[in-house]
Amino acid sequence: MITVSLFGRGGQGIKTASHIVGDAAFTSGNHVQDQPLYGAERRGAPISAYVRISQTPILERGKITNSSLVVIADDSLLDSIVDNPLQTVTDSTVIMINSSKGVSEIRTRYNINNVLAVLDLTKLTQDITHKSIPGVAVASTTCKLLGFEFDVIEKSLRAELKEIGIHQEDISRNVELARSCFNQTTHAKIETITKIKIKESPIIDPIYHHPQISTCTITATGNSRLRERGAWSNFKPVIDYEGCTKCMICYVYCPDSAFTIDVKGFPVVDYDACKGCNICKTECPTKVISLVRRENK
Amino acid sequence: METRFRTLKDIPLEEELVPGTMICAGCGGALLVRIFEKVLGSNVITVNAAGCMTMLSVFPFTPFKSSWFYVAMASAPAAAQGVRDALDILIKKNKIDSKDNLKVLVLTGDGAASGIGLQSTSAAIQRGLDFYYLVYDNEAFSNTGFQASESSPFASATKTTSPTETHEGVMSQKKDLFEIWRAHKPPYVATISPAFIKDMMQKIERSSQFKGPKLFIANSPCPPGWGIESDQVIRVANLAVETGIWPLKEAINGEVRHTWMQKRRPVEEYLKTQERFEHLFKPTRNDEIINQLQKRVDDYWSSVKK
Ligand code: SF4
Ligand code: SF4
Ligand code: SF4
Repeated sequence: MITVSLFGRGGQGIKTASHIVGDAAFTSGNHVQDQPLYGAERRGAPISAYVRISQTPILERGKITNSSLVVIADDSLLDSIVDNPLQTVTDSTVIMINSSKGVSEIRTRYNINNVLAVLDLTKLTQDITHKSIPGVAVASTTCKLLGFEFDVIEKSLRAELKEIGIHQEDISRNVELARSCFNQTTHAKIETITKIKIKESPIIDPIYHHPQISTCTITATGNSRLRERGAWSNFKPVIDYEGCTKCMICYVYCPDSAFTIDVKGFPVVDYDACKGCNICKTECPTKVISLVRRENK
Repeated sequence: METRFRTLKDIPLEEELVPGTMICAGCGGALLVRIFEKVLGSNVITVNAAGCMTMLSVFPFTPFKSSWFYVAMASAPAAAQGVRDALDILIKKNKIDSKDNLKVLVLTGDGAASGIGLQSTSAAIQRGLDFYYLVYDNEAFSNTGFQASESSPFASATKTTSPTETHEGVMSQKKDLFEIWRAHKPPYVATISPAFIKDMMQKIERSSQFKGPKLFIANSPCPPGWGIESDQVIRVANLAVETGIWPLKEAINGEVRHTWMQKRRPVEEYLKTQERFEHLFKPTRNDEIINQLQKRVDDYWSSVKK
């Protein structure tokens, strides 16, 4: 069995990517399971999806704990302690990362010794589709690594995108994107995983605790500031202060309290708080806010 | 009453909600809560019915500088009554100083407000509970992926009402919460919009002079659910008002007054901005439904006293 784990953020098309991979694998004559996993559905929040591909019926269920192939659609996830996608990697896992950085930089920074492909799929996606949803690029690259034919990928892609209501012209652009990803990737040797042995665990009787201690109580105030949300977007708003009239419109409309007003009355963005919704850019009456691609720290 | 909010710049600079929440980028509801809490100030306890905004606080983190209480979907107004009574009793017994008194704010989505929580809201209004009630109306159950609620507008597509050849999405009309509440004769009811922040701040301020229920229903564009880019949230909210779909109004002791009464744009300008109405334009234009939607808005405004 081949196990593929895909990691990304809500809104990047990861769920659709896993469906395309699953569909292409199925059309190529395999037994397939594909499932996204998310908590409350949020744009920008980490999500993962799992695809199992096998010549024989699949009896496993749930999350994949050891992956043949790990696909990471957003390199900012690598810096996250809680949602780190490298958790399911073993020595033989092949890893593909969407990043604007080079292979050697990624290798040393995250201490990766596996077979590794690093591609700037976000840039390619922007160039071809004029949007920054890399899902299709991720799906096509993954399919190529797995050794599927382009015809099969195209068919699955068209079907999946149509099902979620994407327009014909956008589908065509995405097919073009898929083709160029397909052509720039080589087929990788992906190892099948062997059966995992499941440890027997004892049954534990829950003990009664008074609600005062068994329910969650937060005694701190305003501590969510410790959670940086800058990685939720690939772009950040940058203000050209020369044309800024201090009208405060950007400050007022920011849903995430990411602005402060400095002593001279100018708005200042806190980039660790900004989720990159771009409301401030759209609302600024003098159009002095522009978007700049983020480099993660 | 003299207002503190003559221009947008009079907005209080103190943030009552700090950054770092799990709420979607560009959430209209989150902006409303941020502004509402700014106007109310720091002496507030927010009683939050289950919904998107309960994702503001995820253990062990909270953006609130004041107190926050998470309760089941149907019961926020009942919980607010308990909180109010406890505060009143403690003050009466001199257990807490009256200057430490808190304002009670119920925060709830439209799914709870117009459906499962309507009964407890009705009862709280009838009892004359002294509280603020803010509904962020994103017109569906967004927290679980945008299933239809009783507040979803006619002809909109949701996860549970995909348009097909035989029907055009939601086939029922949006519940008119404003009128349902007004029928209870509370001292203050208003509609607000994230695109009209000054209007919103003035309304919250005006309502604060009344003891009893102060009820607000807010148009809350939801980027993933409505199918809009997150940066378009204020543009879309603005069109909701300017096309007349979202009338800005208040009712003081039952007497209705509109706070926006200008020349209206055609409703299709609003509909066209959102994927949930896309089936009305593509692949072919559905004039019958678009005209029905326009007529409903026209009929509403022709009944409005100039
Ligand atoms: S992009 Fe959005 S979150 Fe960031 S500063 Fe602008 S309005 Fe705030
Ligand atoms: S909206 Fe634009 S002009 Fe106004 S304060 Fe912000 S950056 Fe300056
Ligand atoms: S789903 Fe919609 S209402 Fe809920 S947090 Fe996201 S944008 Fe806001």
